[in-house]
Amino acid sequence: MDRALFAAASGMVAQQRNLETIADNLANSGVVGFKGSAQHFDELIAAGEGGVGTASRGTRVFFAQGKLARSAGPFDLAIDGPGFFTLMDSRGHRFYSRDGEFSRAADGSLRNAHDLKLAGIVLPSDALAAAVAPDGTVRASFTGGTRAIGRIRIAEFPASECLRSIDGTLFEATHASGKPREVLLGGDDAPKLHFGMLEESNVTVIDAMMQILTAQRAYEANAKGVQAADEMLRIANNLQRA
Amino acid sequence: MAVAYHSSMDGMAWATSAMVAARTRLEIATENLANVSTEGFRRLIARGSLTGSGVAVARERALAVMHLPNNVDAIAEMIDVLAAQRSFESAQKAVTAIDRSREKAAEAARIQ
Repeated sequence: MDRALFAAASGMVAQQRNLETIADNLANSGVVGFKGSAQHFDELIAAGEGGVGTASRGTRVFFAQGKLARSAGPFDLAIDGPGFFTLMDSRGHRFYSRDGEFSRAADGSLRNAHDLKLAGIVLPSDALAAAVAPDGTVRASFTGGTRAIGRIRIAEFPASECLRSIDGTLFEATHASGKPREVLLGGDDAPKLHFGMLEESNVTVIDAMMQILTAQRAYEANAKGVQAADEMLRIANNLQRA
Repeated sequence: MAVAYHSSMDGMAWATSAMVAARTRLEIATENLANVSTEGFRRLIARGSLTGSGVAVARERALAVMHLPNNVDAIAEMIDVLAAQRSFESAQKAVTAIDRSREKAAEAARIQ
């Protein structure tokens, strides 16, 4: 295939993918605990010919801290610093998330919108209310007073950027991410839990809009490359008729 | 660079080499444009030179700019695309003109 045409076309495909990812980020900019991602590209090299365009190598999630905001939910939690809530499905499979919007289930567990259970905590059926301290200690109030009923544990990974994103808020450990280890909460420089707060998405609408404009212009520039390559081929084809 | 005249040089070969060179310039510009979002990509530079039978364009890698994810300037590459396109058209016109003059010469030879 024609090299210039292929390179320009691969650039158009790359910018289309880029735009899709940015649009997904923008669409989820209001989702609690959502982590934005970006397309990762590599130069496409043909054996013996050098570069012939670009190709997507998938997306990379950015785990930058989102803004913490007060919320009205009775079991809302936000992590200030690195780490993830450990969640479990009914088969005991573990997931990790920064989305701390939990609600109390009939079995006393705290569950998120995906019906995944927060690991390590079950509220007794006679508990009237609960509160979480910055170090993760959960205290429940009963008719006879309050007492600690457990501790929320936060997990972190040696390479969290290698976690597999399921929907931008929910992640799975991979071989590359390494095994989860517990984060000590509440110290001076350690991450803290904020009860009654939620972590907003780390996608900034203005940044995403700027990225859309950049991707759109890059797409147009590559389209012009396709047109120029096509025009040259047309001229070359018409040389004999001239 | 000065090149001594050689009998093998003719306008057609020069114009054809210019078309090939313009095509290579376009390939380089489109390759750079395609990688405008590729982290760590070092742009290609078109390095032109005179050869015994026309012009040639070689590909070279530019030096990386430390604080940038890559050193592709989309506007500069767009200008290169347009410049390559126009060079190609000009060279094609030269090929056509030389071809026509040869045709006329052949016709004149037939008349005589």
